[in-house]
Amino acid sequence: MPSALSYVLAFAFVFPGVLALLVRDPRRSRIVGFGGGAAASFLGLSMTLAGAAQGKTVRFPLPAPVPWTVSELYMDGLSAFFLALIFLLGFLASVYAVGYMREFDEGRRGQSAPLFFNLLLLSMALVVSAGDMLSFLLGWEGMSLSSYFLVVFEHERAEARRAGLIYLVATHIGTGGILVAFLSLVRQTGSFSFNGFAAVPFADPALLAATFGFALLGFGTKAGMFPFHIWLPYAHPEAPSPVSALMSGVMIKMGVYGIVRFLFYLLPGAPASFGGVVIVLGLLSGVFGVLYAIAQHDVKRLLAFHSVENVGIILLGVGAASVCLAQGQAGAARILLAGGLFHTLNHALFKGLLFMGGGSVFQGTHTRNIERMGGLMRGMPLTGLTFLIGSMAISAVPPLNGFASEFEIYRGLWEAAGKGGVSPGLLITAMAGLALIGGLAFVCFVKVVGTVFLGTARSPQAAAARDPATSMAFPMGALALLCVAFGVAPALALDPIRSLLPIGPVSLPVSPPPETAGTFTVAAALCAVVGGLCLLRFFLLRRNGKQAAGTWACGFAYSTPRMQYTATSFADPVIHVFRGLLRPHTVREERAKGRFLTEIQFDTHVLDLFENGIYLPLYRLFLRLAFLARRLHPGYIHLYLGYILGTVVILLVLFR
Amino acid sequence: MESLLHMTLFLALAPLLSGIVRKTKAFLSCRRGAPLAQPYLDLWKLFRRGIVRSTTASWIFDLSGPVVLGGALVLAAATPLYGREVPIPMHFVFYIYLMALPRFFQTLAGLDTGSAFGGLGSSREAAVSAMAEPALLLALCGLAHLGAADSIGGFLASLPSGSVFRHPETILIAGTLFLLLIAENARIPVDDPTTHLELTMIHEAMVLDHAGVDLAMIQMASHLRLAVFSALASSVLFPHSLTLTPGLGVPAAMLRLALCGVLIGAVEAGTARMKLSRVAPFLMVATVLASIALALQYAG
Repeated sequence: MPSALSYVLAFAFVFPGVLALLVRDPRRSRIVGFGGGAAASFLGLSMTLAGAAQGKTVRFPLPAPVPWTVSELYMDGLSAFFLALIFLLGFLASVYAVGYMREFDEGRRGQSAPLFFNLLLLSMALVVSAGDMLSFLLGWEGMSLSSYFLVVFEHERAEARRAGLIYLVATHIGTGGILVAFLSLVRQTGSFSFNGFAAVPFADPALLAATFGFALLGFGTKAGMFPFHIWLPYAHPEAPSPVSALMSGVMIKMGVYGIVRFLFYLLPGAPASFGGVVIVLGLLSGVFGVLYAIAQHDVKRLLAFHSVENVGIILLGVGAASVCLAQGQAGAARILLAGGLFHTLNHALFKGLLFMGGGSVFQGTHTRNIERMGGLMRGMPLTGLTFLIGSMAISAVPPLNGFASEFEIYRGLWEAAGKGGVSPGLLITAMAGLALIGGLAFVCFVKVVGTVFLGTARSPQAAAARDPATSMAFPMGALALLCVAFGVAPALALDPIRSLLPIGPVSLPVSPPPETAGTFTVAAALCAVVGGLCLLRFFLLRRNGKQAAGTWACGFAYSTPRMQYTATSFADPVIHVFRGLLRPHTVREERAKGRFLTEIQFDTHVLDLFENGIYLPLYRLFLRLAFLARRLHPGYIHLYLGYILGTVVILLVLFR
Repeated sequence: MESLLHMTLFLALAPLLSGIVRKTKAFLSCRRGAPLAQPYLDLWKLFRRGIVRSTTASWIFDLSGPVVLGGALVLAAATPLYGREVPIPMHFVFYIYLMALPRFFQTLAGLDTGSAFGGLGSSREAAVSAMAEPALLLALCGLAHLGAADSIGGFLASLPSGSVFRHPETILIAGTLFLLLIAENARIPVDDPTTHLELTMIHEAMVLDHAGVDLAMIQMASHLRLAVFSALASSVLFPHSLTLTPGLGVPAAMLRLALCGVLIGAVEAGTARMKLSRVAPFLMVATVLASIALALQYAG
C-alpha cells in the first residue's frame, strides 16, 4: 500500500463520519456515515489484498506524534492478514449498520455512531500496521476510546453506563500492561521501532519473562482471555449489534495480534514455557467460556461468552505453535500458527454472522431473553437459515469453517505430540480439552437454535417477528456463504495465510498434505447421499401419504407454548455435571393458599466465579484504600501548603 | 467395486447385529424374543408407511431423517470392516467430528416439534455426547500413536499383531471404545431403548415425533452406528483380521460383529439402567481408561 493511498484511506474513514454528524435527516446521516465507512472498508480490503498478492513488506515513515521519535507504518504478512480481516468485517458490519441503526432515527440519537464506528475501524487498521511503539499505542488508545463511546451509545440506560465503565477500566489496565512491556523493550534495545526490538535478543531471562507477562496481561485483557475476560460479557451485549459484531469479530483479535506479534516477532527465541502458559490460559478460556455460555439466557451475553471460548481455541493454537517452534518442530508450528490464524478469521466470520442474526432477532422480538422467543424459523426464514449455519460453524460441525480451522489445530497438535513426541502430555491434554469444548459448544448452540427458532412462539412479539430489510440480510447471507465456502474448501483461506506467514522473522517449511480425504470430498459425499435420501423420502411420501397433526403429548394437546422445553432445562444436564465449577444459584419460592400451592417462583442463574470471587473483593479493597487516602485531603488549604513544604524539604534532603 | 462391497456389507449386516443383540438379551432373560430378522421387518414396514408430521415442525424436521442416515452412511464408509481399504479414508479427528453433523440435526429435530419429550431427549443426548467426546478422541489418539498413521483404516490395520499381549494398552482402548459404544448407541446401562416410560429415555424420546419413512431412516442410522462402533472396538482386539484377503476377511468381520453383538446383549441382560446423573462418572471412567492407555504408550 503506497503512502499516499494510506492518507486517502484515513480520510475516507473520517470524512463520512464527520459528515454524518452534520446531516440533519437521520436516514441520510446513516447512509452517508455507514455507507461511507463501507466504501472505505471496501477500498481498504482491495488495497490490502492487492498488496498481499505482491507479497512485499511495506514500510514508510509517518509524521511523528512526539518530537525526537520516529513513527512508521510497517506492514508484513501478519499485518496484511489482520488488515484484511478488519476491512472485510468492517465492510459487512457497516452495511448491516445502515439498516440496523434505523432504530435510533427518532430524535436523531444515532448521529454520532458512524463517526466512532469509522474511527474504530481506522484505529484498528493503525494498530496492526504500526511499525513502532508510539503509533501502535496511538492506534490502541483510539480503538479503546472509540469502542467505549459505542458501548455507552445508549447512555440513557444504567446498564450501558455500568458496562462502559467496566470496559474502560479493564481496557486501560490492559493498555498499562502493554506500555510496561514496550518500555521494557525500549530500555533493553534503545529503539522505539518493532524492527529495533526484534534485532536485539534479550540477555536476561527473568526480564524477558516479565516483559512477556505484561504483554500477555495487556493483550489478554483485550482478547478476553481467562481470567481477564470479565469485561467482555458486559460490554459486548450493551453495544448496538453491528458494533458487537465488530468488537467480538475483530476488535478482540487485536489482542491475538499482539500476542502473535510478541511471541513470534518481537521476542525472538521465546522459550517453550511462554507458549505453554498461553496454551493453559487458552484451555481455561475455552472451557470456562463455553460453560458460562451454556448457562446464559441473554442471546448477546451468551455470544459474548462464546467469544471467550473461541479466543481460547485461537490462543491454544498460537501457544502450541510457539512451543513447537521453541522445540524445533517447525512443521507442526507452521500448521498450528496457520490453524490459529485461520480460526481467527473463521471466528470473525461466524461470530459476526451470529451477532448480526442476534441483532435481527432482537429487532424483531424486542427482547434478548431466549426464553421468550421460539418458532422464529417461520417468520424469519433467512435469519433462521443463516443463524443455523453460523451455529453449526461455531459448534465445529463439518463441513463448515469452524471445524476446518479446529481441524488444522488438531492436526498440528497431533503432528507434534503423536509423531515427534514433543511435550505430549500438554499437547494431548489440549486436544482432549478442545474436544470437550467442541462438545459443549454443540450443546449450547443446539439450545440456542432450538429455543429461538424452533417450536412455537413463547410470546406475541416472537410470533410477529419478521426478516429484516435487505441491507441487514445481505451481510448475513454473505457471511453464511463464506462460512460454507471456507468449510468446504479450506485451502481458499489456508493457502493465502500460509503464503503470508514466511514474511518476517519466522519462515517455516511447507508441510506435506495429509493422505486422508479432505473436507471437500466428504462434503461432496454427504451432499450426494443426503440429496439422494431426500429424493427417496419425497417419492416415498408421495406414495405413502403424509398428514399434519398437532404434536403428540400423551393424548393431551399442548395448551400453552410454555409447556415446551425451555433453554434452562435444556442446559441443566451439563450444568448439573459441572455444578462444582459453576455453582448455580437457585431461588425457589412457593406460595400456598390453604393446602394448595398457587404459585411457584423459580429462578436459577450462574454467576461468574472469578468476577465474584476475585475481582469484586479486589475492587472493594481498592475502594477502602481510596477512602483511607481521602483522609489525606480534607480540604484545608493550610494542610495542602504544609504538604508542599514537606515535599520540598524531603526533596532537598534527598537530592541536595 | 470394493467400496460397493463395503457399503453393502454394512447395510446388510447392521440390522442383523441389532437382531443379535436383542436375541441374546431375550435368551439370557429366559424369553424366546423376536426373530433375528425382526429389525429388517420393522424397517420394511416403516418404509411403506406414511408419516404424521407435527404442524409445528419446520424444514429442519424434514431434513433430519436424510441427514441422520446420510451421516451414518459416510461414517460407515470411513470405518474399516473387512480390510484396511475403506471407500473414504478419513483422519481420525475428522471422523469424530463427522458424528456431530447428524447429531446436530437429530437433536434440533427433537426440539422442532415443540414437544417436551423431544427437548428432554435432545438435551440428554447432547450432554452425553459432549462428555463422551474427550474419551473418544483420547482412545483414537492412542490407536493412532500405536498404529503410526492418521486415518482410521491406516492405524487399525497396522496395529502390531498379537498386540493384545505385547501392548496391554489396546485392551484399555478396546474397553474405552466399548463403554463409548454403550453410551453413544443408547444401550443399557446408559439408556434403555425398550422402556415404556418416555420420561426416562434419551434417544427414543428424541425421535418420538418421527414416523414412517423418517423413523425408518433414523432406525437404520442407529443400526449403522452400532455396527460402526462394534467394528471399531472389535478390530482393536483383532487387528490381524483387517489384513486378510476379502475371502477370509468378510467372514472374520461377520464373526467379530456377532461376538460384539452377543457381548452387548449380555451386558444389557445383566445390568440395570443407571440414574441419569451417573452417566457422567461412567464417561469419566472411559476418559480415564483412555488416558492411562496413552500414558502407558508414552511411558513405555
